[in-house]
Amino acid sequence: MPPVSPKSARGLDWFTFLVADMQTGFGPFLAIYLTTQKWNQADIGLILAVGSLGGLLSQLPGGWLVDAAPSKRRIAMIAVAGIGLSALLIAVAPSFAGILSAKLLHVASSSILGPAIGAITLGLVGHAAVAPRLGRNARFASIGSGTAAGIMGAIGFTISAQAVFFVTAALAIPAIVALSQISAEEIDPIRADGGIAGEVRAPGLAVRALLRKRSLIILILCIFLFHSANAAMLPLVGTEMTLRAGEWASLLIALCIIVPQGIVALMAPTVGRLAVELGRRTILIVGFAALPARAALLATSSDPAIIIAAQVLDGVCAAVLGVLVPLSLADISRGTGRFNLTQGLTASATGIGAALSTTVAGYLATQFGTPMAFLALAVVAVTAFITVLVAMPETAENETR
Amino acid sequence: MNELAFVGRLGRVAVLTAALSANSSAVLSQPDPLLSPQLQSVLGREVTPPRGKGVESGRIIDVLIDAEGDVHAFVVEFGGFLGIGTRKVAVDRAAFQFAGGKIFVEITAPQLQSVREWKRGEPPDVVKAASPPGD
Repeated sequence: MPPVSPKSARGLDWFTFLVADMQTGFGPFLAIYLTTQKWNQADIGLILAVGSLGGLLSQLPGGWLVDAAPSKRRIAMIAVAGIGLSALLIAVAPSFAGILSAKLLHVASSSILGPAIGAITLGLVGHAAVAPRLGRNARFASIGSGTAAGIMGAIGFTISAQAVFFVTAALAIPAIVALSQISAEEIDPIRADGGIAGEVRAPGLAVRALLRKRSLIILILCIFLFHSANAAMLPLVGTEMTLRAGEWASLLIALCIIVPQGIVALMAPTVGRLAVELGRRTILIVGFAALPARAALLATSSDPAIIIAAQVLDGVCAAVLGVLVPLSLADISRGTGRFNLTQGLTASATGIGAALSTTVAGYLATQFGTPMAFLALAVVAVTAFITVLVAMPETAENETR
Repeated sequence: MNELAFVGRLGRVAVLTAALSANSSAVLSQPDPLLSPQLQSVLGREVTPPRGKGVESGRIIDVLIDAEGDVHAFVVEFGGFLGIGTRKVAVDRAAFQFAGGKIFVEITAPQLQSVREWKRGEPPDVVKAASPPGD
């Protein structure tokens, strides 16, 4: 197999960085922006709910489409253009129809873009070298969202929430330039799906064989449990901070967001390397152990120093999940040609878990207080850890080649 | 008394414009001949808390009226970063002052923390004005 050129490698670095930048613009600023555009709370809530539901429904088709696409680079380009267009639409047409179309365009594009980055990576470097490269991806994605959180926060504060969406739209141009730096010839389309060269694909068979793999079922269950425990933690911390920290609350919340990003940027390449040396299972166990520890810290203390420490553990979790989920999927789907469909599957598990987490924890927090909500999340976190410990098999083949 | 009646009307217009613009912002961008130039929408406007009282700035997200349509409170979303840690609270109309194109709110951190968060469909817990306006 031909080695990856430095130009392609740098292109992928920048692409993951810029895509993370663009995605940061969407989530938090939409509600603020729509409020400044005189939207009422019911309509904003409706748009966000439709977006989440659309996101959930589009993950599987998105992964399927990336598997089916002959050029992973072209489909990634279309997805980035879709996200840029969506941001532009949000900025210029804040009517109900405009925002609804923009939101649906965004979720559909995102459900393609996520697996497409994995596909380009695997197609570029192959199974033997994918672990360190996924670590590098996670590093650049994390630097991207950390940088964007700072810069877009500043733009939103000093200029306007609308300006954030113009910037997001404009970022599509450098993102597409970065993508075009990745040589199309170096992306092996069969390898990018986790397929075997020269083998004729029997689509139905491969999917059924995949779904019968115990390792995939356990991994999906663990990811679901992880996000059920994880997703509501930061919002709960934010609510607590606002109640206790007064004028410093926003700064502390910003720290709570930035600290894990920094940890991921620092740790992710090491995680990728260790996953090769020590095996996937060991690293997954460490990552899943950090989550109940974090929940315990958050449940028992409201001291800002302890909360920041808990966010360091969040960084550990994010680094491990960010690298090990696509890596394990590459292991498990190897030879099936369905790598990207499995990425869509785990993205759905993530979405369902996260939605359940915020809903249930929000209810528990208002009914029984925040410590009780943290405790419930901690119980789920422990369940996730035990599931990994007891049931998750090693997915790496003995000779990784 | 005149002033109060005016404020009541202002609130009604704000609610009206909010309802209109929710579905078509194009309506807002054109000057409406029915609205006198002094009237303006409050939805999405920033409110400035008193300095040094431990309250972060916020944004008006809703207007609460009584059965007659008179404005009694504004719902303000305070604080947060990137949408995390915001707190939506209903604040008594009397706690607000409108001066120099800015909106000021007289509210203290303990008041903000003790009040129940505002939720659609639940009876609101309204923060009372800390001191009478014009104090």
